Amino acid sequence: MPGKTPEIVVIDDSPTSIHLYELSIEPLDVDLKSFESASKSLEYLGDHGADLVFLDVLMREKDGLTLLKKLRGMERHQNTVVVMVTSKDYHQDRHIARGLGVREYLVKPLRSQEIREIICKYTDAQTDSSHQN
Amino acid sequence: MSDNYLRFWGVRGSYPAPFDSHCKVGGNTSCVEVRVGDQILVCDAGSGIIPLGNDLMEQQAIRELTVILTHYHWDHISGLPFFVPAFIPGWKIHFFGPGETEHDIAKHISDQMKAPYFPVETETWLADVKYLESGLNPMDIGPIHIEHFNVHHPGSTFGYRIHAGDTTVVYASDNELSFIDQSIDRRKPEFDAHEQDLLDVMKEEERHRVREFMQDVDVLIHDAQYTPEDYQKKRGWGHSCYIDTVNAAMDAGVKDLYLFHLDPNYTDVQVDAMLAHSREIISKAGSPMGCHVAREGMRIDLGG
Repeated sequence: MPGKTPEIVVIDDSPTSIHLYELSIEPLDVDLKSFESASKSLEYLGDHGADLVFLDVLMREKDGLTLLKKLRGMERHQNTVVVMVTSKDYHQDRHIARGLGVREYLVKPLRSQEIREIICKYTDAQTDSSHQN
Repeated sequence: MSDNYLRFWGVRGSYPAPFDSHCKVGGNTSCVEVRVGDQILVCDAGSGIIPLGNDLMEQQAIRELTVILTHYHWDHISGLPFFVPAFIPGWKIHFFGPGETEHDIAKHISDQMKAPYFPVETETWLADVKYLESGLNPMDIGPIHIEHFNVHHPGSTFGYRIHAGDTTVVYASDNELSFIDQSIDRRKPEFDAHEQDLLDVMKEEERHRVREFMQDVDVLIHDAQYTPEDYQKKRGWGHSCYIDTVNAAMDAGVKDLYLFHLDPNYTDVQVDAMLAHSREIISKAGSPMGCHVAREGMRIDLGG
């Protein structure tokens, strides 16, 4: 009996980073919802759950750690799996992220394979049969 | 020369440098005053805000000011416990900085004034102190228009774009330029050809992000803390190499760049050498950009 298709949410104001996530998930049977705007992502996550959130830190409108504080304030996202993927490699940001229950804090750039490994580590993602040889 | 001006009260990063060998540049940490008519805006409250406070106590006409903080590292708030106007009834002081709520801003400011680190708390401030709503972006302080943006520095850190008089000023005291570029260059050989193409686009996106906040500004006051040699040892500390700052400013069409948040280890002679090299880079590039060292006491006319 196949399980529910995992839902992955990406919040990153870099269109190229979002494109990389889109390419990375092609071989996997997952649903990807991406947001370049922090406020739009919060609107969506206010009404929806997620199996895994990839979250950038340095964004134009609201930084990812401030967004994450808001997210953790929502009952449905108190324990949502969040992985930070950012260009900021600072102890202070890692420390704040750890305090907010982030599973991993990864520094850009990531390879597609690394993104897939993270997805498979934290969800029940299966390889999409249409991409199997 | 108009009555509207910007004045540097503190130009060092990290910690004060009160040494004979540093006097021409100055030893106080970040503090810049922007004055338009009777409106006073203060960017950061490092040790430079102490002499600014003493100077303000010499006059009677103005009893109100707004302090905008980039973040709460000590070199940006350490002057507040000794900022005399805060302790004087009749003064109105507004604070703004990173934080989700006004309470966050108040807490970050007051936490440094607690036993056993300081003998009196912010509760002893007799001025009418207000913390501005954190979501305000943009905001107007009288005729001064202010926008903030996020920069590359540990924790939540703001840069500010300020329109005052006839001049647009960007104040980005702490911002590590080119960090992602170097991260990409270091890992690039591991990536396949298609991924490498994406990484090149990502680098261009980052350049665009930087250009966005400093594009065509009249005055850019920007982090230029390190020489290339020191930057290699201190990459990931949240500060820029002055060469990256010069190149980014030229790329964005800045009119005048002020090298700021200078490393406290650098003497006047070393800072003069950084300036000479910066001007050489600008001249070789054929750019009309002016380049200066931000020095304590220096005033810039804002026109209007």
